Amino acid sequence: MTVTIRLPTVLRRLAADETEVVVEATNVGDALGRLAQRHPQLGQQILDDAGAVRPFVRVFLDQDDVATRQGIETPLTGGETLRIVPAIAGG
Amino acid sequence: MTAKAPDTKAAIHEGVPNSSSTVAVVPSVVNALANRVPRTSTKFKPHPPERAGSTPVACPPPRAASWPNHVQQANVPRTGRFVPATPIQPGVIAACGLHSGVSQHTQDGHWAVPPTRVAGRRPANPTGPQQKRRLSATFGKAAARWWGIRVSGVSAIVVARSIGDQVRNKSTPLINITSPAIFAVKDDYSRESSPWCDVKSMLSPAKADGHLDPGSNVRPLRLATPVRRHLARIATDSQPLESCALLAGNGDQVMAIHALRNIHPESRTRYAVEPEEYLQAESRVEAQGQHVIGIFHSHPHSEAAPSITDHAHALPETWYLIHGFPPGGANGGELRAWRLGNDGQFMEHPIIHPEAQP
Repeated sequence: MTVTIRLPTVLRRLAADETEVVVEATNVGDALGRLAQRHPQLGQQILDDAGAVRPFVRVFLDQDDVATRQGIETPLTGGETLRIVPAIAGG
Repeated sequence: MTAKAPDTKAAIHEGVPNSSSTVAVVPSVVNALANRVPRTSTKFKPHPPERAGSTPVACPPPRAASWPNHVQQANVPRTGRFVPATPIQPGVIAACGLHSGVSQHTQDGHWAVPPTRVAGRRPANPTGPQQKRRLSATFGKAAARWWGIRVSGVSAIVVARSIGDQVRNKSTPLINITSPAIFAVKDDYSRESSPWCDVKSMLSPAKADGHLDPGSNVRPLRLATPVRRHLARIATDSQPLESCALLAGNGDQVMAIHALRNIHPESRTRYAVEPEEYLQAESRVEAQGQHVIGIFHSHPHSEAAPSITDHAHALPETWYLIHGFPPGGANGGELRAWRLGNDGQFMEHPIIHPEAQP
């Protein structure tokens, strides 16, 4: 399934300044994994060593936070847009 | 710093004085951000006590040719104490004659320049050329609150400091260097009434004879004075809670600020932004042809240096502007700029005011 991953501006520098990345994937985890393969530096910011989404990163499938669905197992049917939102947080 | 807001929503609303909208708390974010390590940075330790009673470094008689027109040579005594006859305005580097090497300390404790702190070790010959190379190679890495500029033909540096809207030259520092050289300058006025050093005043005159060392990784953030004031207002208005905002602009220039709501339940010492609000703010930034180049937040109870929590959430290639209110510091606090270096550690960078460029 072809999905579009839209990158936040603060992470685009790690993806050769690409705004969007189109990948073929069957679920969210698969899509993020392919993104990480294409842009390893970006992948390190999004996924941990086990391939899970880092605690302070949110992934939206269209308008829904995938955490409220099936997480990275959320299936993709094609044509969707994934949005990655880094945690804007600190202390 | 350790006080906790007893009620999540109350704390959120308290932290957003200008916000009248309902705050949507995202439980997963709140839960994820709670219970993290306290802000007890091990990297940004306080500076050691100042060297009271430091022996003045002798400065040779000045050479008239080294002086800007508006600085009177006669006012530079041989002790090196620099007292300009006329006020030094931003944009001035004044020379007091050529002198070889870098002094181990200067005439006032605020400007102690011990090479050991900059280079990490005391050189065999503090005034020799090797020392200068060490300075250029190490400043900004070992000492986050130091930065350097490269000048030629000067041996004393005068910095005009901004105190609110005023520019003062009180406690004028002096550093003896040879020419040309890269030297380190300490930007620390936390013990005085001045919240920051007007860094621009040091960079701008260096254009003619020198430049920032390309190998130093010093990367000035350009921040217009109205934007800086806006940030200070946001930080002040949100006290005692932390505030946050997106920095919009291009490259290293901040052009606009997009204030964000701090939704963290412990907003006295933490901040977090609701993801949807971030996406909306980012869309507004892009609609204006700009980019999100950094993140601003305040430290209502501590200095403007990144905490461990800040480091844990830090993104590469992103500016971090922090407005801090260190205990005993100036009422207006201090604003400092940081970026993650290649070594994954925060490095401080100077803030310059582009509208004041000649």
